[in-house]
Amino acid sequence: MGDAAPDSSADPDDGVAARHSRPGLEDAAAQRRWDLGVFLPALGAFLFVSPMVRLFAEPVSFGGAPGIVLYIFGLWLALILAAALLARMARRAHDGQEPPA
Amino acid sequence: MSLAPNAVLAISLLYVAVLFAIAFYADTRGAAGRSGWLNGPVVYTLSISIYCTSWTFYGAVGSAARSGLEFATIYLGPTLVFIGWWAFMRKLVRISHRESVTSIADFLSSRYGKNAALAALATLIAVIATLPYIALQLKALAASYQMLIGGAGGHSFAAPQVDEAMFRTAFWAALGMAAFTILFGTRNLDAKERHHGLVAAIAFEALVKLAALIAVGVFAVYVVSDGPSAVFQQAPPEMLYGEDAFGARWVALIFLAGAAVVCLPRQFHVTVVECLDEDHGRTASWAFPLYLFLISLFVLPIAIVGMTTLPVTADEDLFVLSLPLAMEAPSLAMVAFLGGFSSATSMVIVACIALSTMVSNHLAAPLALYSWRRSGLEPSSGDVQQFLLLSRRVSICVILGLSFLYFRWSGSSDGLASIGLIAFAGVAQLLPPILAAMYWPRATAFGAAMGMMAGFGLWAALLFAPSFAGAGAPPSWIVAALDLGAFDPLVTALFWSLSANALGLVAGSLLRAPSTLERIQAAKFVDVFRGASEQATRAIRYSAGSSELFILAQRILGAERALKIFEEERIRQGLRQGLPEADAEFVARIEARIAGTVGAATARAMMAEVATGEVVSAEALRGIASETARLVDYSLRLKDKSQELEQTAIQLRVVNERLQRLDAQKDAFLSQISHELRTPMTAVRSFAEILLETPDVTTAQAKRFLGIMHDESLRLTRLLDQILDLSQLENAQTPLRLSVVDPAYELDRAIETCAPMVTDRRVAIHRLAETEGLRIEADADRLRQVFLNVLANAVKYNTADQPGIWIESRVTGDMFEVVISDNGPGVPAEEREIIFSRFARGEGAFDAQGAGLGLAICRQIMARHQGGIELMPAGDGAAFGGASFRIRLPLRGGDRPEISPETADIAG
Repeated sequence: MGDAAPDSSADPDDGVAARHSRPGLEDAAAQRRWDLGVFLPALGAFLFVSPMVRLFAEPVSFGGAPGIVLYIFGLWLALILAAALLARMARRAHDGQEPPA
Repeated sequence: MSLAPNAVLAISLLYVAVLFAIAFYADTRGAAGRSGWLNGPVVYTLSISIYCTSWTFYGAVGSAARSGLEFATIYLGPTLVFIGWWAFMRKLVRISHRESVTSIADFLSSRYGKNAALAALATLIAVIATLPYIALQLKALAASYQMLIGGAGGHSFAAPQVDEAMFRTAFWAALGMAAFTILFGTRNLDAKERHHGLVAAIAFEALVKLAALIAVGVFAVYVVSDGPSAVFQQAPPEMLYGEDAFGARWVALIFLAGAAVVCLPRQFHVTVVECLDEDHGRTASWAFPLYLFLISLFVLPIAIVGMTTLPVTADEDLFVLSLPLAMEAPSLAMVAFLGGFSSATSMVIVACIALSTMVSNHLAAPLALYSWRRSGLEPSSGDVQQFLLLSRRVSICVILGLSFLYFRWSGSSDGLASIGLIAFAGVAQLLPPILAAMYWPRATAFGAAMGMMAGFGLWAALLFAPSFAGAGAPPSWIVAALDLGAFDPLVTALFWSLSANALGLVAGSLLRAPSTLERIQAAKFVDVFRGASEQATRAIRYSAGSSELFILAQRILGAERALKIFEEERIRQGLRQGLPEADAEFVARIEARIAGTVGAATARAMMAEVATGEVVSAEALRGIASETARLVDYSLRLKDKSQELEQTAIQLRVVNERLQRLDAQKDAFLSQISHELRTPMTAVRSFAEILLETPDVTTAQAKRFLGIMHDESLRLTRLLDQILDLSQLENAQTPLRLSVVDPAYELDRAIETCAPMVTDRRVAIHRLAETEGLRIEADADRLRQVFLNVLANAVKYNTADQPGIWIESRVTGDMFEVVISDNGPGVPAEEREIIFSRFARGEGAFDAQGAGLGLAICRQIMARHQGGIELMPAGDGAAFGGASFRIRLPLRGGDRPEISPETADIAG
């Protein structure tokens, strides 16, 4: 009889913490999306911000378009595609879930 | 060339009518519940592109012509924010839906303890910062109209004179937009501030402006010029590769644009408040950046073509319009004008709706509440709704009026882009409190207010005030203190204002502890994905009278809606008639509904009048928590104690068993002793009796009998001595008489003592190995006693034909060892354990002289010497066929075999 009380009072917080990983998202897939949601903009920011950009800011031309223009717009498009892919992954996960309350 | 003003006006109004029709259509379908794709992600994403205003439509080209790729920063920032939807915007949307947030000011107020003052401050900041933004839309509209109808500008396509004609156009434009906005957005009060029709209309408008810009772009690249490569060849070199093109300003602008797409009131409204389903963000996360990409694609080409084709005096901001005009393409020019017109009006409409909501909820309503309370008026059901609607309409007119005044009084020589950036920097002051709201539970209303005031103050001083014509530069002391001349003024102002903001936020938050409500709201916001809201709501308990609650609900939500809500609750509670009981959960839900209309702070204030609220204080919460902690601690200690008790019980049991065993042993010992003692006593008594009773005993007989009696008495005495000896040894009563001895010497003496017995039995003694000169601290007599006992046993129990004893002594490690082996029958397996115990006597003893205590005494003696005596295991001992005993003694202090004076005499 004496064993029941301490064990049950120690458990509730452990259970909750085990179910939710930082920063408190619903499941592992959401966690991954969160991670990518931080990584993609960070990567984009890094690539858009000098000195990376300066590397391309030379007066060179590829097929008529200046290198810098191709770099900026090409990178832009690449990021959009990456985001679209991420959204596709999320849709597969979402279809398997119940709608949020 | 130019177009007729009437035609332009007619087409513009037609366009507005189309927008109205779309809005009406969407509203009707929404009311009928058949929204379908209208509520889908595509419409949602397109509505977010309200971000692109006439600044994008006209000003981007202007910026590109002046500063090259810098224009792209305005679209790269939001791209980065939206592709990171999962990490940031989604949380913003989730929180806002949970808390029924109606605006950005409501978001802040709700988070920071439902603070009305903070909401008012945020509203003021938002309104003042948006004024330049709306002004630039007016400027773009007026300028484009003037150019289209061929006003002053003619063939030079120069920037239209900012004169009375321009102001008049702008004034009428403002008036028109006020009318549109009031018609579009303030027809009724939606419980959640949703305007379905409006969203559909601006989604359509987004397509229009994209199509228009692309049309002009295609025209510029493929009609005016000869394809993309030709265009870029004509680009002036310093355009793309400026000195400091990608330096601090580039970074700052990307950051600023990202902040703006979150903090601009219209953006927050469209992205968060009008969001019907969080899942739409999945599409928006890539589709909105795609829209931005597409709309930016032709900006640079148009700018280049404009610069090379149009006269030098042409206003870059209007290239999109002047290019078709110059190239004699009137329909395209009209399309371009429509695109610009569309982007400007939709921005103004949405911005004014968002701002007027904030003004009415956070400025007007609290004031009205205060005055009603003061005057004791009881506004009736419909009154509050009427009042809210009226306040919204009035605020729309006021905002547009102020924007027009700003346009009138501002230095209008700046490009559209730079005016817009001032607005961006202003709303960016809302970013630090928003970030803290979502990620830092410790942030408080006081800190947020400090930060916002500091940041906004610096923004006003460094950017807003100087933008007025004739305002001059900031005072020289500020210039010196903040090193304003060193960098680009926008970047510097941004840096200082946001730093002051963040610093004020952090310092202010840490200065004072958060209130209980702030803490609860903080948990709800920061931990929104952990589902903490249920626990949080339980911490606030309201109780209210049902009828008062009903009256309040009617006032705010309208009679119909209130009735419906209360009916549902009544049914849920299982009552057949009357009002449902207003328990804490129901009251909380009503408050949430009301907050959806008037904002969290006002809702709370209204509830406070009607309900008696009890927020479980932080101390009480802590008290409960510590009580629980105490209980847990107590029960853990109990657990420890009971474990201890268990162990003690086990130990007691063990000891008890031992005591019982010893008790049994004692009984056995006593019975054995009495048996042993009785035997000789019987002999003595019987012979004494014979001597006494037999009349004629011969002297020889008598002598023999007496001899036997004497022997038995001796035996008895010996036995008693041994018993006493053993007892004394066991109880350590007799101290050992320690001296330095040579064990070899004692061994020899013992052998000598056995000599008679040995020769008698014809036992051969073999000395295998001997030690010399060892010094041991021991009791010499006792040691000799042990050796004697073992040797005697070896003789007594040896039944071999040719009995022999082998003695081997050696030093092993730090122990002295003697092994005495015989070739007798050895010790049978079953007796190995007990030979050292008392009264155990082996079989085959030749005489019964020993009482069986000998080995027991030996063991005690060796134990007292920290040594030992043991029977060697069968394998080793069987070397000679019989038993083999090993006696060990520790050498003291690393004694080395050496010749000592005592042993020198004996050895050899």
